[in-house]
Amino acid sequence: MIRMAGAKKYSAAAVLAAWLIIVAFFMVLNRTLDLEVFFVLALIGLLVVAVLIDGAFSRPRYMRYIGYLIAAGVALFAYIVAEKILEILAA
Amino acid sequence: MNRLASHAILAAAAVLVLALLGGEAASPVLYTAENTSTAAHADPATIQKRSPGDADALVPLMDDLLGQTGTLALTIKLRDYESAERDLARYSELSRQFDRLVVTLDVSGTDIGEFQQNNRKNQEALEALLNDTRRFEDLKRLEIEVQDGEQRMAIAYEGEALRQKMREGFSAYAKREPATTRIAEHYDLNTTPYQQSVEHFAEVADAADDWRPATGGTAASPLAIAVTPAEGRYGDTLRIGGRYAGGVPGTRIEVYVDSRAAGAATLDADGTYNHPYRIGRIVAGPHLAYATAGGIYSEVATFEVLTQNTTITLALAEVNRTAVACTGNLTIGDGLPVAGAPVLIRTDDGTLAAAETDENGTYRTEIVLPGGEHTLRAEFHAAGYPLNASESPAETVRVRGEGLSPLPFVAAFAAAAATGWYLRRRRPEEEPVAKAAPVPESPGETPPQVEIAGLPPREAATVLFRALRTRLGIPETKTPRDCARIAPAHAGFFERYERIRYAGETPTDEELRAMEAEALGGGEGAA
Repeated sequence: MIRMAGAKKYSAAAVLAAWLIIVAFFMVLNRTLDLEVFFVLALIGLLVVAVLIDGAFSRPRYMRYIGYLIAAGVALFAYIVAEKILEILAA
Repeated sequence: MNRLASHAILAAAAVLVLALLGGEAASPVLYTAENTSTAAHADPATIQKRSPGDADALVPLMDDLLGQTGTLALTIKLRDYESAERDLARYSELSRQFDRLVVTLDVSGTDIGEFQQNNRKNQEALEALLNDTRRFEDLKRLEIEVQDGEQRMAIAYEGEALRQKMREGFSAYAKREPATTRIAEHYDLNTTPYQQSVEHFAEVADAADDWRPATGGTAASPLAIAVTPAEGRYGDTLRIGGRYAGGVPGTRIEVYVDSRAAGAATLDADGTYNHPYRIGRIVAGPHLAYATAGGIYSEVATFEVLTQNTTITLALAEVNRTAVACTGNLTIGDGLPVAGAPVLIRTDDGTLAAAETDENGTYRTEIVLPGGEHTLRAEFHAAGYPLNASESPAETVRVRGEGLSPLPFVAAFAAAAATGWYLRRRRPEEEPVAKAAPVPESPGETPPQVEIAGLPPREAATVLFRALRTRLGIPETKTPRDCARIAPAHAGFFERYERIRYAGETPTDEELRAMEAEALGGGEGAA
């Protein structure tokens, strides 16, 4: 069980890396490489992975770190959204 | 040690990547095919997307434009003004499409660019021809209706002016024919309609000529008029004057240029009058002058205004962090200033600002620009002046721009507020559990204080499970199955709790009491 839990976080990192590569690949295929879009898609990937690896009755330490990472990501996402809104209002 | 080194390398790599990305955060679009401008790399897909369709459309469009001139000139000749208006609108639309295409394909430096210029002038000429022909028709009708001699003269003068204008228009139109035909033949275009349009244009101008003897030829007037010299340039003063046979000295003589009042003169004692006429904002080409004294009209005198080159300068000076003052002079060849003329300031992104020259030919305007380096140019378009358009050399200015924009700070504040709200919203989910099972700081022998009275049986079991886990010093991350493995002495307790928790079973009061005893360390299992 412990070994499985350990393997879980490595699989999650691998899946997340694969997701980022897929996103980058399709963005290049679409001839646009926008950091904002990339960041938002990466954050979505992180949220999905976090939900999938989160156990129901235990909270490993790495989940706490992922929580901090998500909080930082949400803050950055909120910043991007706020900036876009202000841009639209200013236009 | 090895593990620490790998963590340090990973952290350093992450920081490096974040720093690199952070540098690009201000302009997050790292790459798009459309704005790739390096010499080494151009995306062929975007070039293909833009040009072949456009290039294919160019030659047929030129053919359409030539065809349209024939149709339009014919409808004007037939005096079918309604159709002519429609044809003109269609012609203008085609010309606009053509202009856009020439800019898009960047072929303005080739013979297609020359064709475009000729086409634009042809369009203007045909538009003027349509308006003049209409006006001519009106004049003819008026001439029949009006009996009053004075008004008849005015009509005759205007008719004469129109006739001359049409003649002038035709000669310019015909002059462009060889060049346009040469380019058209180069692209295998059908030039027949265009050549026909020149013929139709000639016929319309000739028809106007025919009208002249009927009205223009007035009986010898006692009021003579002459313009000396017969031609001039911008800024020159021409003398419009003559002798009024039988006129009383002191009589007021009104002088008209192109049927518009240009001034008045007084008859001298020797029976002559003299009005200095300064050439100002008037188009280049032939013009008409006549004079009236009471009810007496003079004959028509003609003079020609010649074009001249202009020079425009531009000097830039910083006013403040964002505004730049643009000043300069507009002069003609010999340094004579051009007064009251509109000047356009064009910035690198195509934005225009307008200014007007004063009596000394100097203009000044201030424009606000975003921070960065900008290239500005002053242009004089000479519309309505007998002058050639001119453009100043490009001047570069560096604008410091406004200080830090408040936008990112406002956005950061909003983001912080949103994050705070998000974190606050998350916390209450975790707190009840913490309250239900207060965890003592040091796990050990002291039995934890647990109160399960009044709780539903399953929640009470959870509280007891947490209490036992804490008492045994097992980390909170461990599941009941893990706990059973770590503390085999309490395996019964943990397995029972696992069934309660996961299988949905409800413990009886007896079971709860037994579990409580075990959790608090008083039970037989704990011994």
